[in-house]
Amino acid sequence: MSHYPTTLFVRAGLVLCTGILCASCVYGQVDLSGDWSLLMHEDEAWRGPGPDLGEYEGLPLNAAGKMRAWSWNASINTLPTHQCIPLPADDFTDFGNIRIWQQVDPATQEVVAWHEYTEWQAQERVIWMDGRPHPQELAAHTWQGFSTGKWERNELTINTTHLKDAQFERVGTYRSDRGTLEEHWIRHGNYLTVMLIISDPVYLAQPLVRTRQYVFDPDQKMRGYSCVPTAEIANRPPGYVPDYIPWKNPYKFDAVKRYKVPEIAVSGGPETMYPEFLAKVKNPNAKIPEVTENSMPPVPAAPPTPPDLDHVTITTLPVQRNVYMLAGAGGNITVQVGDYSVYVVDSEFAPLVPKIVAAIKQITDKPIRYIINTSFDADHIGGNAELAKAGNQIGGFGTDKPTSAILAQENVLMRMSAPSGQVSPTPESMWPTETYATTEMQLSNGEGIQVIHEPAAHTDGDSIIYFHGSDVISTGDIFSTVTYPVIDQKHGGSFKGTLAALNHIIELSIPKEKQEGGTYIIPGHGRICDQADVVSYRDMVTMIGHRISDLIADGKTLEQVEAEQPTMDFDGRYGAPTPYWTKEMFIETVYNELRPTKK
Amino acid sequence: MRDSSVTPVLAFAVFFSFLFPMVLHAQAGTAAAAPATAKAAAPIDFTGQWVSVVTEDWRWRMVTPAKGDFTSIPLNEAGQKIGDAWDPAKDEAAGLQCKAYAAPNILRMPGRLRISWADDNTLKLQTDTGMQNRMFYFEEPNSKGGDWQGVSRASWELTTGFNFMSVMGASGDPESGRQANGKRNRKPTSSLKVVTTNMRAGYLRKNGVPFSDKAVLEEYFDRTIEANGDSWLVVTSILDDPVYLNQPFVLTTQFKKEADESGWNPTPCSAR
Repeated sequence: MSHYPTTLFVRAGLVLCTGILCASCVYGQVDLSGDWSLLMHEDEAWRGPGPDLGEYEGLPLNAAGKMRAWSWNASINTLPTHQCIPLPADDFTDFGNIRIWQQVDPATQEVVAWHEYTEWQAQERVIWMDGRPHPQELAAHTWQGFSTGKWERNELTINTTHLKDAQFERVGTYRSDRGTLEEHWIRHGNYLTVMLIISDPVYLAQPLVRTRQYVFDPDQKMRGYSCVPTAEIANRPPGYVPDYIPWKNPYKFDAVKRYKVPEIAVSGGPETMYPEFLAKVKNPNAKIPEVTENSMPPVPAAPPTPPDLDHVTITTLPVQRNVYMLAGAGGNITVQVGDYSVYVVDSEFAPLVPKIVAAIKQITDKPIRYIINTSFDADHIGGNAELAKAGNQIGGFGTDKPTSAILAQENVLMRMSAPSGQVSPTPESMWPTETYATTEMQLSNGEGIQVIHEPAAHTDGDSIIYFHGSDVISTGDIFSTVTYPVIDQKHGGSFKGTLAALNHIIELSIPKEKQEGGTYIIPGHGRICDQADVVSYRDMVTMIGHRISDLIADGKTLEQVEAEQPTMDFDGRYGAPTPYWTKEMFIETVYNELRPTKK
Repeated sequence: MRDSSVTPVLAFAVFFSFLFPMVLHAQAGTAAAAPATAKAAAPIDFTGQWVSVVTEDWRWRMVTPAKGDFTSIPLNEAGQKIGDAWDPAKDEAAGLQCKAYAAPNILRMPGRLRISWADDNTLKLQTDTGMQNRMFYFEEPNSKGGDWQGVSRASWELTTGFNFMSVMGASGDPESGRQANGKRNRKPTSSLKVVTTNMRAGYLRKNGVPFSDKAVLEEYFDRTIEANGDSWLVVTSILDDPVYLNQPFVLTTQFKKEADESGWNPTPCSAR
């Protein structure tokens, strides 16, 4: 009873604060809740039947964006890995009715998030209004991305990041996974205007701005949408990717014939969006002011300076269930926590080990039993010896102090060691203590773990590690979201083996829904991925192989092949040089492997 | 056992919590008296030069579509009949080259706009394409229309829906509460609403898609300000034409703010 006055005061204060807060938020908001029907009074031909191949007028594509679009073949939609890809956040307005509703905090009644459901392909977006930050840079990307919103006058302004590489129109025009989306949702009575501003440093020379309209329709019946992928065309070879050689695409100018679109306009570009271009429509030789291409960062010519390891921080990202990814300066580290121990894939560099161990201790205090190496690359094995010392293998022997075991494919040991009497490339303390020479090895640590040899891919000693219970695959340098495939031909790597390994990763993985989630993939370098990201990368590698093969068939020399820039549409994404790999090295490697050998 | 003294204390807190923000608003209102003119009341500045950015309907805006191409327009049978009879030479001979430059289509024409205050209660919108002028009157218009641009009545759009907090405010305060006549006030948003009537019959597109002199055009002008410094004018238009349309024709057209007026390029109307 003696506490009653205090309690009452606190209650009254809470109510007072809530009232003030509610008042301020009410003044800034418009109710968007309800069911909305899409109006197709603009671009109906694009959004219904879809535009023609090669028809990009009014789109601010840069040269890379055009080249990628010219490579696109609609037959790719017949592949099971492509059939269930939904319209991404920057294209949801093209087709389908929507429903919008609020998610409120039950205690404060403040709007925590807006939800938007698009009937077509059953996609739900969440727009967080509670001020939470966007995920870390290396977090997984999704078709709808991660969105936060705020009210600006009567506009709900939305910022979306972490989008997957996706088409913003169904004709091969792509926004890369580095692109972002800004939106303004504005309600006027029974009409809702959605303004989209798509920015992409890789494929757009200027932001693409679009506006779409909906009309309030409380009587509509929303339905679900399921998608079950199946092979639509039988007997295609494994890893088949239909595409066009961009400089030989026979349909580039179909819209000129079919719709009388001026030839000078049909391939798009930022200049086609502005009134000055009318002069070019009338006279293709007319001089018009140059349009600034303001969003294309130059691909650096020189590799970055190696990081100062003293200042590198280790970032921990939960991946799925028992698996985490640690990112620092070298290859990604995978940490799997079992019932009694921890398995670690790769070890970065020795000086980083104290930080790596500290990061693992933040996840669990269980001992490290196994270190598994995906290859013998210095940035994947550099910390082997030090990290092993921090571990404890059950039943280990041969040392005074318990250490964790180091496991790798047999060829890793061969590459790291040397015959007796010769100097080995790496100290013995870093060598694998256990190897396998078969196609795979199985372990268990609270879940089944498959260590699979991918022959002649990045090197001849590559392993991918599949954590079955957690449904996560760690790929090592076979797969990267940072560079073109690093193919170490000198040590048994090959272009065809890399493609085979990428296709194998795709085979092993299964999406959860609509080509998203399910099996997560930890690449050798870069962000967390799922099958769709590997498919996108595999498609890119396959297409580049097709182009170089085509140039070889035309009798081009390596210098001539390089001059044709067969990777140009992906250089903004994967072409930045690293201390160990450049796009020129990639082209040369593919060329050398694909050219016919003299008998 | 429940203590009955809780209720009045909480009730006081609830009442005061609702009243407090109103007091703040009322104070703000006192400091700055209710604006007497539309210009002074403008919640956002639309003035300046804007360039159209044609990323939509390119095939129907940047080039003159073929006769009979009515794609995306909810045109009824009567409208299609008129559209199928389009003859630009006939329009030229009759001096009707500006039929497609009327209010329902002028903002779809690739070009530039200049928006300025003609006086304290009239916004002026000029286009370089077709050299048209539109006047948005916040007070009684001094035009009767009958021309391509008709008569446009403007207002700052008000919020819709019930705002409980506004019920608690002081009488007559424009920011909150009720007016002296007991009606609830509604808060201005940052949208400009323009309703245009009395237009001379013209075209919705250059290829002769008709609208009638019975058409009513409702427009909402919004402005965005982007993190990269860009600013966009977003115009949502709803054209209702009982003569030639099956349903309201709804479009949104966007314009980018320009830093200077160097791009202004007045060009006369063209029927082709």
